[in-house]
Amino acid sequence: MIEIKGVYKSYGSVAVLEGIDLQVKSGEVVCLIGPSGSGKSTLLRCINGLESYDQGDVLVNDERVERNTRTIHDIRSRVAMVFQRFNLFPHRTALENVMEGPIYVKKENPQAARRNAEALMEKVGLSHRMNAYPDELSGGQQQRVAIARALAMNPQAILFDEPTSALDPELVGEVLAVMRNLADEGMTMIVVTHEMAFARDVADKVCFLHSGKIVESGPAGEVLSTPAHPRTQDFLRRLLNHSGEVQA
Amino acid sequence: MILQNVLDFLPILLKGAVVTLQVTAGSFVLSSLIGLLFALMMVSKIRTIALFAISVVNIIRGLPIIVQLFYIYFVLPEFGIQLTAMQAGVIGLGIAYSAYQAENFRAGIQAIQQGQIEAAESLGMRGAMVMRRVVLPQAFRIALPPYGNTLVMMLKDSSLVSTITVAEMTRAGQLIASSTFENMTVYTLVALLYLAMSLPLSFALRRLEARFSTRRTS
Repeated sequence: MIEIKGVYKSYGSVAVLEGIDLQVKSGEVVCLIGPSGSGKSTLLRCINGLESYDQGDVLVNDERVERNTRTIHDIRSRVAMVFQRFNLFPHRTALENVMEGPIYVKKENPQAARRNAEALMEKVGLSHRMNAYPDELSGGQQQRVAIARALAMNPQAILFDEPTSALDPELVGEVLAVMRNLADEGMTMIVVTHEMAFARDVADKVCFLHSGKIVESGPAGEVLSTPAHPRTQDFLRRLLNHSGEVQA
Repeated sequence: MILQNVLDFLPILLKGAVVTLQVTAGSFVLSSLIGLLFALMMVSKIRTIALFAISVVNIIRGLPIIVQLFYIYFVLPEFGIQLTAMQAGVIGLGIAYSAYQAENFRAGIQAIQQGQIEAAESLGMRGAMVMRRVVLPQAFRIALPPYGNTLVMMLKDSSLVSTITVAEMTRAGQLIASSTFENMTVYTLVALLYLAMSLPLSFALRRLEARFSTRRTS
């Protein structure tokens, strides 16, 4: 359902994406890993048009994603995004955050939107915090509200941009648990992450990016346990030494 | 003697105070509307619109308020635009202060984090809705302290419309003083009456800020 073909992007003379090809089928979970500056977040942001790209095609259901075009709003309402820093609307309660898109973008009936939002808050384990404002919630709770807000649009896919990187370590688990459930339910997900255990357990495909290229991609087990490319080996070794994570 | 003067002058000055409040309220609303329009133009991605608004705001800010009032009251009739002193006062003060209001709002709008706009866009919102639902509600909270300051300044600067014969409090005081020569009594009363309006206003604004400005902004 998402197709990326030969995408190039540069900021001035600095190349950020250098010929990215990637296909994501409906129901697939794809994790993008790689060192910072490798272009994974930029690639993700090209998929819902938060960034423009210079060459190539990004297609969602065969529709070309292009920033500043008339179709972009429609595509965005079908491809949701979860941000590293949550970006909840601070002047609205958790429940209002979740209802915002359905009521104002999809013009749903407010009562129906509220019922649906309440169900989603329950799903992310926050039915007791529906009327809290974002500044009254922990980072993990805020990110779960952000996931509920994304789900409320009933999206065909959700893009996650390092969803646990801004969280205290003890709060990472609750967010990953919600994401695991979504994956189990068959949600199409593209996840930029440094959580290798999550990638290994949940991803159907892992892509390793380096300097704007996908240097290695394949089934999670293969890429993470027996990486073929020296860059991947090097990256995983360093990550391992750092976090003490158990390798698959 | 002084007490008798006070009792004689006070009703006249209070009538003027009512006009002062009317001028302030009218020009405050007008300046807020024009200022918001300018602010939205100033942050526009279309450069010509932004440049136009920035130029107009700079011109307005570069002119003394009294000159703007004189222009509207004395010059516009030559172009066939006849305004009462009250109308000219409210419009003149409203336009003069719209430049400052524009700056208040622009600063508030630009203080909103990019992530807020991206989150709204990612829900599929279009530009105008992003502004209305996400940016402006937060920008108003951020702009509240300077916005309140502007209101207090406008209350005081409403005295400038006395120069185009609007019978507000300062004008009323001038008239009494020139006919009775009781300058000290008159202007002390005028000063006290301004304080009686501006201090409670400042206090109320402080309370409002405490409720809004620190929390619930990104």
